[in-house]
Amino acid sequence: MILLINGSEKERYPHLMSGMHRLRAEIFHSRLGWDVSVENGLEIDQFDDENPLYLLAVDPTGTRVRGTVRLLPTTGPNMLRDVFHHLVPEDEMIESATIWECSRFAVDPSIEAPKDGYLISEATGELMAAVIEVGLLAGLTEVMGVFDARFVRILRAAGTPPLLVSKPQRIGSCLTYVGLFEVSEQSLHSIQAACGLKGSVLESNNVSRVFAA
Amino acid sequence: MNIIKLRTGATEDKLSEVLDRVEKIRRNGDLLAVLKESQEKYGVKHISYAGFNMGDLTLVEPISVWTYKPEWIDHYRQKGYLNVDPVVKAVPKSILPVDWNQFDMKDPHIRRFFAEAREAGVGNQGLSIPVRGRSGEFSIFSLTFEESEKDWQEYKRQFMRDFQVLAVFFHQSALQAFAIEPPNFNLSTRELEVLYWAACGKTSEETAVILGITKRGVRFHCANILTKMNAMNIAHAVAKGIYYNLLNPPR
Repeated sequence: MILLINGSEKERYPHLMSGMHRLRAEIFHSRLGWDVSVENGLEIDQFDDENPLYLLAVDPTGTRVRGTVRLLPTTGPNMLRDVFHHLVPEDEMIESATIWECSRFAVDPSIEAPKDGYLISEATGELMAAVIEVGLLAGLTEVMGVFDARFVRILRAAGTPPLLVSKPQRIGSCLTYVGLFEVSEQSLHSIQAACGLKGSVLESNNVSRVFAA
Repeated sequence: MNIIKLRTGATEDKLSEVLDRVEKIRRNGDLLAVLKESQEKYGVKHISYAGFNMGDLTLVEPISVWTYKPEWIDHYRQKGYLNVDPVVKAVPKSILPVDWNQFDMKDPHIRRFFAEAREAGVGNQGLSIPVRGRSGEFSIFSLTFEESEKDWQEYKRQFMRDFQVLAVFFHQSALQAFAIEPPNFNLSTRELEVLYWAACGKTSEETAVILGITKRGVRFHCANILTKMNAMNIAHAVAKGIYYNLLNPPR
């Protein structure tokens, strides 16, 4: 199940939010060796102050965070423009009404294995499907992100190959690319098929509440 | 910008026609005409734009352009609805488009507000799109409709992408029309830190200790800050820093 949380209402979810920041510390600091700042076991950066939209994959009890990703419009402050701008030539900076940026995509490593017969794990698939579902609701064409090579392989395997718009660059211990992936009914179906999802991963009460901000 | 044009929306023809026409109107600086053009093409009842955080122009109230009847605007102002309107409260906090159906109609103030709006011909459905700009400015682009619930859902599905494009396009038009050059102070990371600690009430001695630099170093950074921000003194710089959202805790 996926929960949508506006950055502006994070105080209402202290437990889930700290679970999310802890998972990010584990993945980006401990595992990937990115130069991120971790305090008290929580990874928080300047874009967490920009009222992003968080997507949290939670366990069925709704208390444990299994995965997370964060969305920001590319018309305002975002990581590619403000941090990773060296990755793309200046005249190709991505700034579009219908492209949002996803960042800090992280999944609990202990549940990373896909179910038998599927290509990607449930939490990874849920998050990716949720990004596309939100994108469809918001009228987006693409979601942009700085993806590592492993994630690019996952997307390819899922039948939604990202469009890579930068040369590979080394960040921490991994090669990364700036990529765009498509927001469409078709890409949603590909992801759903690749991890065995049926129907929407968004919880309807949560969606109506968040859409009223 | 070549990347962005790779894939086009579902209703490309209509959208490019509108954008083409409004580009011409935009050159004449007539924002209302831009709204009216979109209004007609999409069968929208009304469109309004409100821009916030755009320097001196929006100190008292947002920059607004709308197609509503003047009576409704007068009423809105008279009643002080800027403080009641849930659109103004909720939309800036979100990056998702907000459907007015989602507001809490159990709240009597909100219910009365929308009842009066409908009576004034605003329409029975509404959609507000938040736009975040390059320099901390933001705006709300709202469209209203007269549609049944069922048609409304379908209409939204079909045109949401176009409306996102129009919202950002209009925002940029407004910035140009009002000749708002969002200031780019170009402060260095160190200067931002010094400004932040000044905003927290630290003296230059204290800031020097916190940052592990000399007091002279802090004074040097302060002088740069004043020049770059065109500020009279550090209090003025802090005020501008708050206004333009520059004061984030150093990481």
